[in-house]
Amino acid sequence: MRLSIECRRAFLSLLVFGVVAIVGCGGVSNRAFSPTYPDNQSAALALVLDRLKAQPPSEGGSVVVGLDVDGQLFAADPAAATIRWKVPVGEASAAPQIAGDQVVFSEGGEVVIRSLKDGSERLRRRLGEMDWIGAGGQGELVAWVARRGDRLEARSRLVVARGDSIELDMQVDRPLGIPTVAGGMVIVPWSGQNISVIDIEKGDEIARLRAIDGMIDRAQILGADVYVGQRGLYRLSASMLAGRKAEAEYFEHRRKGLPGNASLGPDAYRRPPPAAAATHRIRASWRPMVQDGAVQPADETVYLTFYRLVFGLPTEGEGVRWAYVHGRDIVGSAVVAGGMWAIDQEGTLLFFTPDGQVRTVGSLGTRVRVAALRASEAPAEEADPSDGGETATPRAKRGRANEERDGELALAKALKAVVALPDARLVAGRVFAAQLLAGLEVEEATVALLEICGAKRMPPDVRRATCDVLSTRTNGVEHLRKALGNHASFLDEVGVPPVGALAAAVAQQRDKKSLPALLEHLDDPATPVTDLQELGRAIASIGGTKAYEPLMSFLRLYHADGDDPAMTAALVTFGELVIALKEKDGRKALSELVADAHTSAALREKLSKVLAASSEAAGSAK
Amino acid sequence: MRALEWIGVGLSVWMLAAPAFAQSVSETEAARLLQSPKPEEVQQGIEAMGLSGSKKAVELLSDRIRQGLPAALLKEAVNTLGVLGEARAGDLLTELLRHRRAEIRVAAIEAMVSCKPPKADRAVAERLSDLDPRVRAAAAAALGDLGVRSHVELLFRALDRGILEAAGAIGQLGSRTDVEKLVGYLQRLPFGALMPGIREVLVRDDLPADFKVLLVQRLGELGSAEVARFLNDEVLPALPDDAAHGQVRWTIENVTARIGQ
Repeated sequence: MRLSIECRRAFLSLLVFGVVAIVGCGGVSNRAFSPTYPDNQSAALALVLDRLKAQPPSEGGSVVVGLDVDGQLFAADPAAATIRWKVPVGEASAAPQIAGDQVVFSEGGEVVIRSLKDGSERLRRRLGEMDWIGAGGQGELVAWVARRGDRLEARSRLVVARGDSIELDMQVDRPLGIPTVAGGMVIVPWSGQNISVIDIEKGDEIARLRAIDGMIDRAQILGADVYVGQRGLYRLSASMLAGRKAEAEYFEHRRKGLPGNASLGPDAYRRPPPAAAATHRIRASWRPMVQDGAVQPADETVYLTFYRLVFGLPTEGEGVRWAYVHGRDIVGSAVVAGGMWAIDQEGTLLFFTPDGQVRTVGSLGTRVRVAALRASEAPAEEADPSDGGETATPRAKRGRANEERDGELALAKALKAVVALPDARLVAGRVFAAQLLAGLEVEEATVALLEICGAKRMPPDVRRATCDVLSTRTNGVEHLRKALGNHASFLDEVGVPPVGALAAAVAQQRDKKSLPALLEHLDDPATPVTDLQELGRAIASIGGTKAYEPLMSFLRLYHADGDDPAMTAALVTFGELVIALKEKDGRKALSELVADAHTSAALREKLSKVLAASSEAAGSAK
Repeated sequence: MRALEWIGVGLSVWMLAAPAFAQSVSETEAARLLQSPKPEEVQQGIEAMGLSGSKKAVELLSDRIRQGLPAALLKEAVNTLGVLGEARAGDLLTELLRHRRAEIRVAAIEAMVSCKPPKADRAVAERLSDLDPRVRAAAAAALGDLGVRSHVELLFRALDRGILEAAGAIGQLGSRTDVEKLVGYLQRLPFGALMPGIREVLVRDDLPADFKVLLVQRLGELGSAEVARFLNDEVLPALPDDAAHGQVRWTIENVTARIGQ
């Protein structure tokens, strides 16, 4: 096939253009978000940091923006607890966000930017098929991202606006996270690990960072610094060049098992939760502060909010400093040095100090569905102590034994109150409080756990969690023994006690005085079959060889009873125990049961294995 | 009375139905059958023990029960202990009152009534607190049959907690004051629930006839066909045939006739 002259010319032109483009860029396309753009280049980052130094980031003044229950968007001054403005808005698709001097809100399929000062509309853009993801900004500049899809299939739109004019508007086939603006640059996280810094004026990418061992879904200005991250936060600095957390100015609250998987905020690579979503009421918040070249939470405190529960957590370890039950859900919060601002459903502004004092700053007089708070400092001291909460319990500082004990007693009382709350939404928070209770050393914590473990009206998850931790206690054995003395009684309206948990707890404390009570439960038909294994282990552990006969009698009496899996499991455990207690006698007795034609099939098979394992162990010992 | 009646009826039926060889096997053969690996032979062994009247039957059955039996055979063995009716079975029956299977606890309660070992009433009374309603009902009924009056207060507690079988036992055991209290339950329990207790009161021969007359008159005030049927069908045929109860009989006839109008 021969090509025409025109075709040849066109082909040549394209070839020359391509070569020029490659050579001109030194082998690198300057197009933002290009997959070949070099990351973690010190010269490029230095340029960015120089620009930030020249034009330091500024978080902006304190403000609360929210959506009230009547569908109106409002902005308020948190310190004065006064509403600046309130405007009716269309149907909200996500919670409002503060970006510089603006509030960005997604309503009726559009992104709308309004002035924080007076609520006047600055810009409105249709989202089309995209979801609004988030926004950040400084002063008049706002950057926002919309996206369709997530992860590999995503298509995103990045817009930077100044007042009512668009400075930058680009679409990329990458999942972008929540951007921010600083030093005339937009800082955009994308694809989980990357950050592109784009010069707003030129639209060029001027630096790229990549986190090798961490996720980044948002960039934000806090104080006079830019932070990026997701579960943890990196300070944007030269320390990020290596791309590793260990070498970066980075902090992550690594505690597992927080109720509702509380974190700094929802994953920005997923569709944003609706404005009414419960996820806005669940946060583990902290304020990054740079100390000695390391990022640490301000006041060494992480504030966990879970609907109307608030916990003050240490930054490391599994403990708790204080627990607080508010009268209403917390719908927005912001941590500053010296404490945490919060706003509740009734529009009451609160301030929590790191030692658990709670102050009511004022009331906006409006019922709030969801809110975003920005604050840079604690309120003035004259704020009133909170009148909306049920308990607030600062834990005494370490070093003074009596004070510490008093603090633990108060904390045990507060945590017990949390666990006992009759609010089904709070189950995960109540389970968490039960686990915290187990971490306290005072005997009263054992008593509290015991009461909760035995309370029939507790949700099963709360009760189970409490009973599980009971066996970790090392004190209060008299209370445990007393509780073991209780038996289910229809006439006395006494429910089945948590026999398994109590048995494990007294066994843990090697309380020989509990043996008679344990044997009583072995003989009680009300003892749940699921508790028999734990009960048998406790009897063997405490009773030693004295336990052989009762366990063997039980095993004999029920070995032909049937194939109930739970009962079979218990009998197998008993079989293991009797061999452990008296090997020769136990093996002989078990062999007889295995040989008995009436023994249920499942049990025979499992007891045979127990015997075989025992023979093997005996053989290896020789 | 009912548990004993049931055991009596059960024994009669069983003797008729039991294989002929079971009646003729020796004690040694019965003991061998009890240890058989075949369930049907164990069953025959249990039956043979029940029919043998052997002095060793209770011990042999007790040993076999403690060795562990499938549930159906265990129930059969416990019933047989009841049939043998020997107080020596008391220790084992007391243990079986706490067996994990409710039907075994019920069988043990009924056997207790038959064997009447020492302190049987106390052991049975504990089962009023059982979590299984069948066991509670059996325990309440058994307390009436065991005839220990000191448990009446407990039976009222049971009645308050909805164990309706306690009404029959109260009727069997209660004093005149207790019976008046029981009749007071007519305000909160349906007549049908109290019928067994009231029947027991009316057929007892240790309560004065004039008290029974007043009770019948009070029932008559309810004026329901159910009361009339109860007095005619349940009470009249069971009334002691003596002069003292003539007045009670006459009152019942009058009351039922009035209700019929």
